[in-house]
Amino acid sequence: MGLLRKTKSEAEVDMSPMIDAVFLLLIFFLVSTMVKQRPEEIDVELPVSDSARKVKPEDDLVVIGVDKESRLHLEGRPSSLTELLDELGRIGAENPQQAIRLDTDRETPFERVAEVLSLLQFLDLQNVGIRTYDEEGSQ
Amino acid sequence: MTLSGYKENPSRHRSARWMGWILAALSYLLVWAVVLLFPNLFRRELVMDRESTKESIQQATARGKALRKAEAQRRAQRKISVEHQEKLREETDQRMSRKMLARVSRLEDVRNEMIKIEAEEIKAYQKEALNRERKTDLQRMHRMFGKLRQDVQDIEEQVRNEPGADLLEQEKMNQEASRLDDRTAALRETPENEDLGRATHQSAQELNELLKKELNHIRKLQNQDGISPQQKKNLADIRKEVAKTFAQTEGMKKRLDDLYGDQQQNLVNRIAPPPKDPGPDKVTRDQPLESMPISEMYNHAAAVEREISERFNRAKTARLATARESNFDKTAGLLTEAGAQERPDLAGDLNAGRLDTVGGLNKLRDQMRQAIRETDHMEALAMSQLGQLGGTLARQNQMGRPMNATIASSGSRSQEGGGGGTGNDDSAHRNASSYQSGQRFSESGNERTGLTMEGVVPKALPGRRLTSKANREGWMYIDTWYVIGPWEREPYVGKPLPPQYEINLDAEYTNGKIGEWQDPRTEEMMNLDGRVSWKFVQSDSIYIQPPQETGDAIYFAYTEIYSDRDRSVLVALGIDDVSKTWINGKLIYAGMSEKYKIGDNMIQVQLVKGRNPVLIRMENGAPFMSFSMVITTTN
Repeated sequence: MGLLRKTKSEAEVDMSPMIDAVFLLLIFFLVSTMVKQRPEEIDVELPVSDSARKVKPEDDLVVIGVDKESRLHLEGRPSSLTELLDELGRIGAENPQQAIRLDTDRETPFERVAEVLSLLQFLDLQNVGIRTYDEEGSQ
Repeated sequence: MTLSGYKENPSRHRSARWMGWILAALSYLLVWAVVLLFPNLFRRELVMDRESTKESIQQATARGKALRKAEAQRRAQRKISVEHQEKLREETDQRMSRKMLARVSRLEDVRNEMIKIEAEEIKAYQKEALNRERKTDLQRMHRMFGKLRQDVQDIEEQVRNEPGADLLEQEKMNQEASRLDDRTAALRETPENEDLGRATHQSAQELNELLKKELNHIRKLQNQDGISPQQKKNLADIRKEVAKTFAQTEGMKKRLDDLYGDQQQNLVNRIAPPPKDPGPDKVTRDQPLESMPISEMYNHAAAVEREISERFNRAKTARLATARESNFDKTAGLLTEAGAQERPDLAGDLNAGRLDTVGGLNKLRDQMRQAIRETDHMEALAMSQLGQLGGTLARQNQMGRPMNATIASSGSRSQEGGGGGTGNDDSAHRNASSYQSGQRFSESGNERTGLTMEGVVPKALPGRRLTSKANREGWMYIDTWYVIGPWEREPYVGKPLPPQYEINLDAEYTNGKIGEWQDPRTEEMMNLDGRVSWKFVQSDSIYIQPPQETGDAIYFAYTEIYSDRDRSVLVALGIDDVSKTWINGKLIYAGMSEKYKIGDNMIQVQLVKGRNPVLIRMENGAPFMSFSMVITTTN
């Protein structure tokens, strides 16, 4: 019965290359996500909110930042009030639907936030969101 | 032993048996898990409401925070080995220095451009002052040279009849006097024409030489033999005339030398001296930036920022002095803008950063990051200042941005154009009454419109935008303002203050009111140090109160009104005491009301499409101070 002896060994799929590939992909995505940092972000501790509505992030987004010393930033760069007024005025005239995100520190005086919001309202820029931190796990 | 000859593999058999045991164990555990968890699941469903979940999450978050804090503290106290300390310090320095270097280099570029702009502005200011001086002098000279031309003709007539007269020289003198007169007339129209100025100066010199020759010639004639006493007397009279004309020409020749000749620079320095306080010389460094430690780079950046700020102030003052045809020092007294912002002293900490623990290293890194942030801010302000003066670097910087933005130069909006307002109150009143589109309503008009507090206050809504799509009509009160002040009233009554020259919402001025004053509403004491800057004020009623409210003070309020098309509006100003209001740089109202009244001053104003800047100057005696602006479309 030597003929049957050949069929005795079972075909096995070697999983190692696939696992390698999967791990490599996983590491690649992890690293690229960590490295990718939006240049317009400034160093602020966001205010906490558990009732904020999550919105889909947009690529074409103008970010205004106000740090805890009330200093203004536009697209991650420090900006003067005059400059901000002019820049936003130009954006408002060209594209009133431009998405704007306001990043403020939780210690930023509220009157500064109100000032920026009032400015945006005056310039008819209505697509404005305030970035907050959700303690339940997401921003 | 099998029927088909299959030989049983004992190891497979063993594996199967083990697998069986494992599966049995798992099943056993699963059964127990279901049995034990099922009642709990049922119970949790009952107690797991939103509040308790939230509380649990908060507790867990707090526990996590506490753990992280403890861990951070533990890490901070962890020692770094001696061999690693130096390496870590070097790595940190290198990484941060690279970032700092780029920023400080850009700041130096801004400084270099600011130096050029400042020099240009001061040169332009001196040129303007020189031309002004020239124009004044040439008016006078033109009159004198006209008379002189006549005198020379008279002398020629008189000399012509005398024996031995040199008629050729007489003719030359006459021609030169005519040429000088003509050139002065032309120069009076174009005092900046240097070539013509030099030619006029040359003419004066030549005429002067001719007159000198003439004097000598007459002297010779007087001394010649056989001359009658009458002729001698005539010649003496003529000589007297020539000497007088010579003296006049000599004086004007010298003056023309001052205006167009070698002495020009001396005159410029006398009539338009460069800024008295030249400020620091260009901040220099002994070593290249690359070899500086980060602490020195930070200090250097702060020094460069101060220099930029001082040069910016001087350039701006020179520009304004040129525009106003005024003296530099007087104009500087009007602007009195504060210098650079005070920066935290980080150099000591950056040098003394301890690296023997992880905490020390982290602290050092934090301070380095703060130094970089401060430098970023310095650069932003410097760019903004450069933009206000139209620097090319500021434009390039803006264009390099992803948003392709425009420069900030339009940020300086002067209120001093058109309708005036630079002068005293009287001239402002005149301007107000003659303002084309700002037509004052008559007293009877006020009564007809019947604008009362009861009628307007409950109905007026806040806003700053006038659009055709708006779904409401009626009165709108301007609720959002930037207010600056207080300035002491007495020294500035009728005198312009910085916001009348420029609206720079980032500016800070140092000539504000000083001293301890009581807030009239809260009765708390306020300590005013003379520094005033624009403050954002938003009101939920039509009345706007300036921050730091005191009596005998001057305040300015600035806002913008948006209109989606050109439209005529009715503006009701309610301001206590003396005030002036400009819209789009034109004075629309200047006057005085002894008591606040909402519809005291009603003006019809033409708004343009887009943003319409509004500036109000308020002078108030009583400590309580409030104002309002209510508008409606005229149709």
